[in-house]
Amino acid sequence: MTKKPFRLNQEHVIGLVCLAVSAIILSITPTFPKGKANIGLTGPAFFPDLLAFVFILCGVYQLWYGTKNAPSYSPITLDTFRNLFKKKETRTAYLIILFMVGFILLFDALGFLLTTFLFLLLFLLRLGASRWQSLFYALFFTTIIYFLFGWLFTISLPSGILAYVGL
Amino acid sequence: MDAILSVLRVEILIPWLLAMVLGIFVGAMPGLTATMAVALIVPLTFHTPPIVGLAMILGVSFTAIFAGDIPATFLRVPGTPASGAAVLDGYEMNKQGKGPLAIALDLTCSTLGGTIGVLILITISPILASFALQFTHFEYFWLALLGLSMSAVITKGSTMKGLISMTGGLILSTIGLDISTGYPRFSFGSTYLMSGINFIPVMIGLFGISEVLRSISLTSHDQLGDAAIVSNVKADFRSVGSIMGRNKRLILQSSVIGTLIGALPGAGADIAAWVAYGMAKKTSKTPEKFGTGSEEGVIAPTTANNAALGGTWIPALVFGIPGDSITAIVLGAMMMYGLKPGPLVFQGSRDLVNQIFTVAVISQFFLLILGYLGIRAFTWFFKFPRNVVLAGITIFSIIGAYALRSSVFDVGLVLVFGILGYLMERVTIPLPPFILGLILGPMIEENLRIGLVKTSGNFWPFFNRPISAFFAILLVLIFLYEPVKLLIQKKRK
Repeated sequence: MTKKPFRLNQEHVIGLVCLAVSAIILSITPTFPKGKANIGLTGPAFFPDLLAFVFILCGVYQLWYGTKNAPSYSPITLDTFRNLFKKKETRTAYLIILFMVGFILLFDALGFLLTTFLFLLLFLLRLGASRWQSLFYALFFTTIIYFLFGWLFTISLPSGILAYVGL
Repeated sequence: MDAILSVLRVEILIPWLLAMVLGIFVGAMPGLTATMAVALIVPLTFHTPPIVGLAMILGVSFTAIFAGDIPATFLRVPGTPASGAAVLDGYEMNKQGKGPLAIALDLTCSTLGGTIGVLILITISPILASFALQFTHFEYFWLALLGLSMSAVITKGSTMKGLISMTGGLILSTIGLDISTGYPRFSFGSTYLMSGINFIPVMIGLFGISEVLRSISLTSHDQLGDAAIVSNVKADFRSVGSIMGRNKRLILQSSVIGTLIGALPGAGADIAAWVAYGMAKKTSKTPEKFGTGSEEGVIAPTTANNAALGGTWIPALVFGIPGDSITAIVLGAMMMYGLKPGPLVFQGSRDLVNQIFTVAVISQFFLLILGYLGIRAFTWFFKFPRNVVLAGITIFSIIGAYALRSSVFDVGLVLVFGILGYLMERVTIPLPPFILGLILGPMIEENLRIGLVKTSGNFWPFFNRPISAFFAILLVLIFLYEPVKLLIQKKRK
């Protein structure tokens, strides 16, 4: 009987992530102060170490499970990564994530009004809304949120560069 | 009477009703869940008095669970996971031209199921609370662990993935200052991480943003539904009374099943609906009609899923252990109001508990009215551009998270956990155990460590007290049930 070659699948990846997280925890916790065993006072490392141990068990199980049930899962190859960018809808999702990163980076500098408006405009345009529709809803949501959070709940929303024009 | 008057005030009624309308809107949209509706509303509730916030959360969850049945009946697409079982016979009735009757029956049963669930909650909670007063750190440790483990075992998919999700949430809960020594754990010098990971941005990311990403990456439809199919949606109540009269026992049976399953930590309205459906089929005189447009097949799941909501509040209020992801959010919200859910809340905040019960009962009457209007508005909902709805949800999620502490860091958390939630769902790791782990983590750790200090490091008292031992055995049985069942099945083959 020929031995089938090892093919990485999603179950293996889950197992490897569990083991990696456990390794990170166990490499950090030795720097934590120790507890006092004689009075039952456990140190700050006690609970994270316990959880890391559980995660190791989970990781090992996932690796075994992924290998045992390999035919049920499609193997992860270079094509898997290529396919991640093939579908237009998936690319749109990645772009939305990028828009959100931009929102976070620019929120304080540009201020709530500008950042929110620009984010919504780009979001709607990318999702196929017409220019006028995008403009209308971007303005609509920005205004609603500004009045709801900024005015009704008196939450301080950053003015950013608009502070120079008194907004 | 005082409790009724105290909640029927304009400043409570307006946000409460608006939240219920939002629940109808979100619940009726396939892909958007009741948990997501609650997640969207929670940031608003922090700026209101506790009873206003809790009325909004209660209201939104009741309407969202019902509204999920509308597309289930007319489009064969459940609006929320809790409506999965309602699809079977509801849609079949619709195909036979009895859609208006099915949805009218659905609404009436949802209201009745919700009312019975809440009445059971009102009756049982104070009794359980007085019993829970005997609990010490040992019992609370096991109880929290039991609740968390049940959520990992009961949720859909493999138990191991539920366990991974749960442990992930628990690990996240260890970030920040240590409860005993004050030592900053895994904070890497960041003042944001030092104060721990707030569960609200995590929850908004996991249930809100991940849903948006999933929705964008899966479909390119311009509208939420096919308007041509749903252009003539209405409710026909004419024969509802007589059908319900014939099925009194089934309504009661499904309500009790729904409430009991709801009370199990981790088992929410979706599981309740399926179990009630299965039980109705087993006890029916005409089981062969199930799946072909049976009235009983509509009554059982729709009664049970709303009854389960009352049930989920039992462990949440009495023990501080959430019954599902919605009550997990409620617990977090209550803690932020300065309330500590548990048996003492029935003594220290008796008035608030009475108000919560009153709101839950009155919400059922509002559900009947708003549910009817929601059915009428269904056609309009589905003409709404999908991209606008997604944009609205995204920006409300982002600003809602920011509003908690006026912190861009929290918006970053929303994005990070949105991506994580999206990836977890792709590899079928359930999300609810993760959020429950994050919320219950401090409770489990605190009770374990204080218990150990009390016993000078001896673990034995965690096992030799009667209630602790019972919980410990139950926990072992929960995890052993599935493997032992598989082993027996294998041996038989």
